[in-house]
Amino acid sequence: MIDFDVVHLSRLQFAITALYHFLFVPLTLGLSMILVIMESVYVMTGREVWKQMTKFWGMLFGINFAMGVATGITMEFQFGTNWAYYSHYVGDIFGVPLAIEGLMAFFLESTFVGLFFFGWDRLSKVGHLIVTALVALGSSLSALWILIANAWMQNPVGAKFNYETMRMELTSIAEVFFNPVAQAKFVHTVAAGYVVGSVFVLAISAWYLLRRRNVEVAKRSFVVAASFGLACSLSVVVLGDESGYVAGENQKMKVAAIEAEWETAPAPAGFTVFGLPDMETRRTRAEIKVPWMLGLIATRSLDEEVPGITELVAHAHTRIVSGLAAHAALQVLRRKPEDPAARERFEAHLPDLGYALLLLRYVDDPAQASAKDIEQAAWSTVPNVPVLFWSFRIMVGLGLFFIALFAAAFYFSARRNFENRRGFLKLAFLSLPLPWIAAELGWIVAEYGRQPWAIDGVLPTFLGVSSTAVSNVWMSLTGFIVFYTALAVVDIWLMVRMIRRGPDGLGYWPDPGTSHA
Amino acid sequence: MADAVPSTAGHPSAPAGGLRRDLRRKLIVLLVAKGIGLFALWALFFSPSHRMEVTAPLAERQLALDAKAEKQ
Repeated sequence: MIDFDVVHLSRLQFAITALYHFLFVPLTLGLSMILVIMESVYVMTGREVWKQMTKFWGMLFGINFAMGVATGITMEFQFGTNWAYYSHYVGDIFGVPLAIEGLMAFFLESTFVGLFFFGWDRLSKVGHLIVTALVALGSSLSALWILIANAWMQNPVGAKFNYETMRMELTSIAEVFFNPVAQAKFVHTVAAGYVVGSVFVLAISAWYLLRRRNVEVAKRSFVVAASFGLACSLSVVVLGDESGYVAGENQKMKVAAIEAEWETAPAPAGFTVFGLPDMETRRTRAEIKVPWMLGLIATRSLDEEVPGITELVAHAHTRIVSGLAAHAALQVLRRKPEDPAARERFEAHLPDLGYALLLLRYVDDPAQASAKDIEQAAWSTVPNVPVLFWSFRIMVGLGLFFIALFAAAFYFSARRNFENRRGFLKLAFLSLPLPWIAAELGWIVAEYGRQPWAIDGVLPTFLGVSSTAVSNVWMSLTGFIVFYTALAVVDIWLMVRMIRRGPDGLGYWPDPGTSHA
Repeated sequence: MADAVPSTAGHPSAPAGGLRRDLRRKLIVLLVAKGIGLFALWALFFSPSHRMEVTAPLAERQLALDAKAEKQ
């Protein structure tokens, strides 16, 4: 029997480690690309100040990178310690991109990070720029492989369940690699990382300008962040729209939950800008809708409906009943693998097997499930609507704010009068935590919205957990919280110390004020 | 950070053999430290006592497939 305390604690542990790890990932992605831009200007112009800028932001990148590595590794351990059944069931597919990420992208990134720091006096200008570009490429490739693995959890393509080995097996690696969800997620996530990096550079530069310190470095950094940030914040919205459209194709329940669309509305559906979704009454109170908008975003048409939660639950009900036939046939096949009738029945109902497994939350043997159990299991396919509804809206609201922030910063940069706009500089500095909030909410929408599935439509989350004692999970969870809190303190201390000292106070290179660009 | 590794640029007359010996010693120390780190990780997370091996029969039980098949 499954211990649901172990399930909840293991989920909590993975969520904490993933959300914590994702504090570092987007800044690594964003800063690495900004370093490439700054160093390219240095190589093209030969002006020393751009080299100093690359070194200073590179130092902050280094601290962040080290923390990112330390927190990322523990996540992979958890597949073995807490998610043993998950690893058995889908490890053949899920493990491939993870292994490639480790062997190719992460090794590439780590090697060239070393060269970035120690190669300034040993490599030519162009050689060092290539190293910096390879660090950025390695970071993006890391994100690509991780997102290919994650996208397979959202849209499991290129694999089939083998009843002899009792696991999913790869049928097409190309389908896994070119999963449309992976493509949409990759560009959206990387662009969001660039926005995080840009807001970071913009905010710290604003802080220096407010204090009239490191003005030469801060002015140029501000302009780079404003230009790059504007392009990326616009891209995030466009690419996020693509990500939402792909989700509308593959994860209709997630889209319906994000929109709190309880019933199917006539096409084109309106977008709920504000509302108070209630899981008990299955209604949204005080809703304010923008006509047509959801239909256009989710289907890109005026005549296609966006199915509501109730309709999708009815569909899930049908699939559970169909899945029961697959489950029964699988029981026969496990004992008589050559039984042709069982095999035919199994193949016909295989796509719905995962839905029958949802019943194991309510009954020990799905064949004994009552109509009420099936109804409960069908409604269990609905994720937490209020959490998704608000996470999505806050994320989108912040995305629009970043466009306005960078547009203003870009305008002031073009007019060359941002240095004395203290109000705007304060706003830019106070915006520092916002991109992280948006990025974390993005992950909550993507992963909490995937529930109750570990692998969408294939494996319910609660069936993937290891058979272990609750005390073990409590112990590791406590250990992670203590360890990560200590890491957070060290990280913030190092970052603040480095920023306070600034390029002029670090003493690793000449005072940037001595060179004029 | 940039000064952590001795630079040959600052010591044009430094004997190459000495630097090579120094580098070899540092590499050995690093590799041993890495080996100890990896062993610690294996002992803490991957040794058989920390690993739950899932077999097909175990997965069968997890998915409630070990109920009486004859009833079909």
